[in-house]
Order: sequence, then structure tokens, then C-alpha cells
Amino acid sequence: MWNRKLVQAAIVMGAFAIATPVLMSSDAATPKKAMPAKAAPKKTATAQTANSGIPVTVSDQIPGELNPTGGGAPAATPYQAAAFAWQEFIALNWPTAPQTPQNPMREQSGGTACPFGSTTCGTPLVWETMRSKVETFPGNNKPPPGYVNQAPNYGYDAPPAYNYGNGVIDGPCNPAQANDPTPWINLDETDQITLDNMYAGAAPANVTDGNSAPQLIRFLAKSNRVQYQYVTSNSNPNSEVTAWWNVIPASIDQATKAYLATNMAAPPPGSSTMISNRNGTIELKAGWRELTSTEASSGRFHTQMVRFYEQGKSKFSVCWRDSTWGLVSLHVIQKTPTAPYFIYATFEQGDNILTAGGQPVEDADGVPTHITDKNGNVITPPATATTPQVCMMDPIPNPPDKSEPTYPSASGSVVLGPPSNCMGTQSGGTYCTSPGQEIYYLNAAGDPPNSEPDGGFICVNKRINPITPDVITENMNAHTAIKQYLAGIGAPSSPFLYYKLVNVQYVPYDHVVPGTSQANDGWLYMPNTSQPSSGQNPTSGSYYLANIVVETNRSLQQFSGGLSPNISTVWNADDTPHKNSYYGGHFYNMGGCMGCHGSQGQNPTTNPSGDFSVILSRGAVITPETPAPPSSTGATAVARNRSLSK
Amino acid sequence: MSGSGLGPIVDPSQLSCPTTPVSWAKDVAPLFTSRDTAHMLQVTGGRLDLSNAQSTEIWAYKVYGYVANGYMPPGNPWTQAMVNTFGCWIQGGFQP
Repeated sequence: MWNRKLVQAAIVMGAFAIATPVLMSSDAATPKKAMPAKAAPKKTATAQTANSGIPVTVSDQIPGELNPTGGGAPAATPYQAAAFAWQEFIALNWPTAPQTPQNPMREQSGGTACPFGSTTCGTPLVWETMRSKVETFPGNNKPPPGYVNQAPNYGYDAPPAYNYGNGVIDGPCNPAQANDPTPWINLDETDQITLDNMYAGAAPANVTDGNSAPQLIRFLAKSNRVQYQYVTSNSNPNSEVTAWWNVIPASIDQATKAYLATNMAAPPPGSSTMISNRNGTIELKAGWRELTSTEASSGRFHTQMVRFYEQGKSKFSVCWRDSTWGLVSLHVIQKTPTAPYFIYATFEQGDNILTAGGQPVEDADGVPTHITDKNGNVITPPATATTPQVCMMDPIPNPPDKSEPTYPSASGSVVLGPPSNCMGTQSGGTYCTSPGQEIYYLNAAGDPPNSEPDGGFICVNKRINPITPDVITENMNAHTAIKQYLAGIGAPSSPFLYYKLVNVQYVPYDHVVPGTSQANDGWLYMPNTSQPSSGQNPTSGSYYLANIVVETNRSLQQFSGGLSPNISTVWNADDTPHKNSYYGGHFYNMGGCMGCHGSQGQNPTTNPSGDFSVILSRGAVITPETPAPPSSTGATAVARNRSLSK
Repeated sequence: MSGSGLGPIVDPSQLSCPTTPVSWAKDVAPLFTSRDTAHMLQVTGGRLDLSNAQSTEIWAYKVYGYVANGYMPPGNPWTQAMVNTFGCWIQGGFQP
């Protein structure tokens, strides 16, 4: 019954995904550095450059709409979208007000008393106090922790508590941590949406604090009060099997999918008879890792106490450890009145992509840097995005399978070797055995024909799609505004000067694959470079939006269409194009984060609909994930509570 | 993929169950095929082992929610009787 063709349906939990960049891109260009302004206001600071960028303001107000007076998100410019993303980032990374029994409020900004970028209040950040996915979708057959059956908050502001399946949690791995305050950061994912494990060569190589995989980047997914209220207000606490925090009832799912098919649009936001998140719903996905002592003292990383998980006493149990780690990535997605498909933005710590010798290949704004040899001579950077080069083949199914026409094709694969080898050979590359300080990944083992090279590590040299000029400009604007603000409060620096926006998706784009081309990468999206970038002509970096440490393997870097089961494909099994996202009376083949959330969240064939929210689609979180050490063949066996859907 | 024609979703505690307790070995384990077990082992990295009572108990409410809603097994949902058997195993306190 759980057969191969339906292999991606599962009883398991999902975090929201993303995907991204392309093999060839003409998006790259380097704008000039913005000149720092002279003014240094105290509460808010605004930077404006001489180019066409949009000012960024240091404010604790989370924007609820993009381009509200100019037609909303669909009519926004890339600059507006990037500025919107930065306003989200700044407000979400604002320290919270001190939380006490008298003030048990999550997500409450500390305002001027707890300035942005400072540790004055010693409080967690706004987004850090949002509920971990297991706090809204618990795995212990009970309502969420702190739940009270009373609108509007339903107990949202309870202290953090992570309730997985009964018997899953042994307790602390180290008994000395038994009385630790529960950290706000709960790292219960250890892979890139089940497809591969991600590592940072710059992280400590040896186990020092019980972290069995010290270079592994681990992840969390959170959502805000708005989603919690939506889920709890539609759940009967006396019927665990129909509560939305456990599983979306079939009747709701059927009504939702029927509406989508008929209207090619999301149901009205906040519906209680169909799945459609309320406007203002925010979800986040963050990547964290252990830092070296040099990194920890560099002032370039936001650090926080995290909880991570290791194999427990029994085959089915885990134990936890608490430690201070560094933030390396942050996705932010928000549903707004004009963006029922959510707006997707992703940020990275500035030093993620390093050479083996430890030189950054971009600066904190995203501008490519010169790489030098040991004598200081500028050298040519690697030509390929990874070592070894990997290439994704996505041939049109031959012969077509008419029995399951809407299922994505299972004909694709990812192979090692240069693009010239893409059409037919599985050889041509040697795995990376000495990452040095590069980031690198290891694909999960998969069954043919949906195979990815999983016999060793693949090192990352650079992005396939560079950060685009519009985004670089807004990174400069934001960093300048933050510097001005910090000067105004007398703060010398902040780690957030070293985080950068990678790109934004703010309107779906339907990438129509020309004909039935099977040429190398002929199915890839390419922008019209003779026209300005826009929502209707997105850059490749926007269409294939991906974070270099969250969506790194080839299918995630170049996601569009669907996954079958672990390879991105633009085809259905019957040779028709595969679409993934409904909006405004049209069915889109969107790429990157939005396409993936459409595929796995809005309209998953073998899981309930979650309206672009994969965590809502998958429901109860039964177990946190623990690291999967590479086997002797390099393949992974990743313990997880999530799976992908057709 | 729901829409199996199953009846209304009933909480396991509200099911009318046989007086003889439903047992794992006799009643529940046979509900799962070897393919079911292999697949769930693969997608959960060994966390959900449908051939193991302890593991299945941990995931029981989620499994019940998915089979009762017709999501699982995809394309070939259980009958109401099978769903009830699994629910009665939960109601009965996961008898071996």
C-alpha cells in the first residue's frame, strides 16, 4: 500500500522548504558601495543611496503588506520587495521585552528600552519567541503546551515546551543540564527537507560538547501567533484525531482541493471550512551551527542558547543537549492581503561561503570578493558551483505514464560531472574529500531511477545564481541604516551588520518549459535580460530562491515543478508540464521557495493541503531528528519525522 | 489524497470496541504489509517501524488520524473495520 509510486506520502512532519539557483545566469553585477550618511538618529534611522534603492528604516514594526499603496505585492519592484524583506528582518530580530510572570508575552518588541542589535535587555529576539512547530503541532496526543480553550490567543504565550510523541524524549543527554531553562531555539531538523545533510567546514571538527556532528547545520521551523490562533480556533480539544494540530480532517482537505481546482486560487483567508491561513501568518526556518571560539568572539554571528538532539537510550528515543550556537540562515515567509501565496525572503550570515582556505567569496552585502593565493595574488575562482560539479537531468518521460497523469515524472536524476556529461553518463566526477573551510553536503541515499550522487561529499564553491544587484543595493542600504542607528544609541557594532538578504519572491511566475526539449539544462528558467527585472520577469536568483546552507543540493538549488521523489522535475508522468501553485485563476510552475511550498504545502497530492504551509499540512511532530553519521559508503540514513509529497 | 468513503472520524475513545481486547500480535500487526513497513522505515529514518509495537504506539494517534481520514495508505485506504481495529487498539491501551 505505501507503494513506490506513492512513496512520498507519509505520516510524517514537514518543515517548510525552499529551493533555488541556475547553472547559467546573467544576473550578476556589482553596484557601487553606498556612502554612509552623516545623520545618526536614535530610535529610527534611514539610509538612502544615490541609486534607485528603497530606504530601509530601523524599526520594530513588522510590515504587513508589500507596496500597499501601489497595487500590492504583484505590482512591486524588486527593490521594494528587498526593502520589505529587510523591514521584516529588522523587526523580527528586535529584542523582546523582558518576559516575566506579569508579562508573559511572546513576540513583544522591547522597543527603545531594548534597542535593535544590542544585548541591553538580555532577552530573546522577537522571532525566537514564536512557537516551534512542535509547540503548535504537538506529538503527544494532547493540545499544544499552555493551550486554553479561550479566544483569541488560546494560551499562545506559554513558556516554551517541546512535547513530542510519548516515550520519545529520554531527557537531557547530560544530567547536569536537567534543570536548564528550556531554550527558545529548538533544533529538531537535521537535514535539508530530507534530501541531504549540510555541513560547514569552518565549524569545529571535533566533538567537544556532546554534539556528535559538530559541522552539521541543524534547523528549526517556527510560526507566529496568527497561525497558532488559526489552528487552535479550528481544533476541538476533545477530539485529538480531528484537531488541526494533529491532522487536517479529510472533509476540510477535500473542500480545499476542490476549491483550488475550481477557482485556481486560495480560499478566503481564515476560512474554517477550508485551509487558508490568515493574513499576517509568518513562518520562519533558521539554520544554526556550532561555532569555533574565533567565530564566537568575532561579533559577526548572532548567538543563542539552542537545544539539539542526539540518539537516546532506545532505538526510538532521543536525548537533548543545550549549547550556545550561531545563526547562519533565516527564512521569513509572510501571507499578506495581496500575497495569498506568501512573500518569501531568505537571509544568510555573511561568511557562509568560504574557500577551502577560509577566504569569503562574497562580502556582507553579497558582492563577490577577490580570492587570493598565499602570496596575495588574485586567482581565478572555481568555474563550477560545486566540486565535483553536479548536473540535473530532467528528460521528458518516455514512454509517458498515463495511469497517474498528475504525478511528477520519475525520469529525472542528478549526476556527477560537467554539463557535457549531463545527458547519459553517470561518471565524470570525484567526490570532495578535503572541504577545508568550505561548506559541503551529503545527499541522502535514494532508489534509482530517482538517484542523486550519494557516495561522498560535494563541496560548495559559490552560488549558482549570484545575489542580484537590486538585492545588493538593499543590503547596502540596510547595513548603512543599521550603522547609523547603532551610532545613535552608542553601540559600536552588531552581528546583524554581517547578515545579508539573498533574494525575495513576491509574486508567482509561470515558467513554461519550451517544447519537449531534453537538451542539457534546457528546462531551466532564464530571465529576459533585455527587460528590467520585475515580478513578471524575475531574476534567476529570485525565481530559484534558495539559501546556500538550507537548499543546497541540486534539486533544491534548481527547484521548480515537483519532486519525484527526491529529484526536481518540471514534467508530469504523462508528459504534460507539472504545475505547483494556484493564484488568481492560474496554475503556475513556480520555482524556489514558493514553488516548493506550493508543491508540498498548498496542493500536495498525497498529504493534506496546508495553504503553502508545509508544517500545517504535515501536522503533529512525533520526533525530533538526530544526526545521521555518514556510512562507510558515504550514504546517509537520516532519522526524521518529515517526508515529501507528490 | 483523501476521499476514501470512510465514515465520520471518531476518536478512538468513542469507538464501540469488542469485549475481547484488540491485541498487537493478533489484530494490529497484520494490518500492515511489509511494503508499508519498509516505506515508513525509509521515510522516517527508522523512527516509525510498523512491525514494532513500541514504535507504532509512539506514532499511533498520527497513524490513526491518517488512516481514519483516508490519507493512508495513499490510493488504497483501509476499510472502516481496519480503522476501527487500530482505534480499538489505542482505546484498549496498546495491548501486546
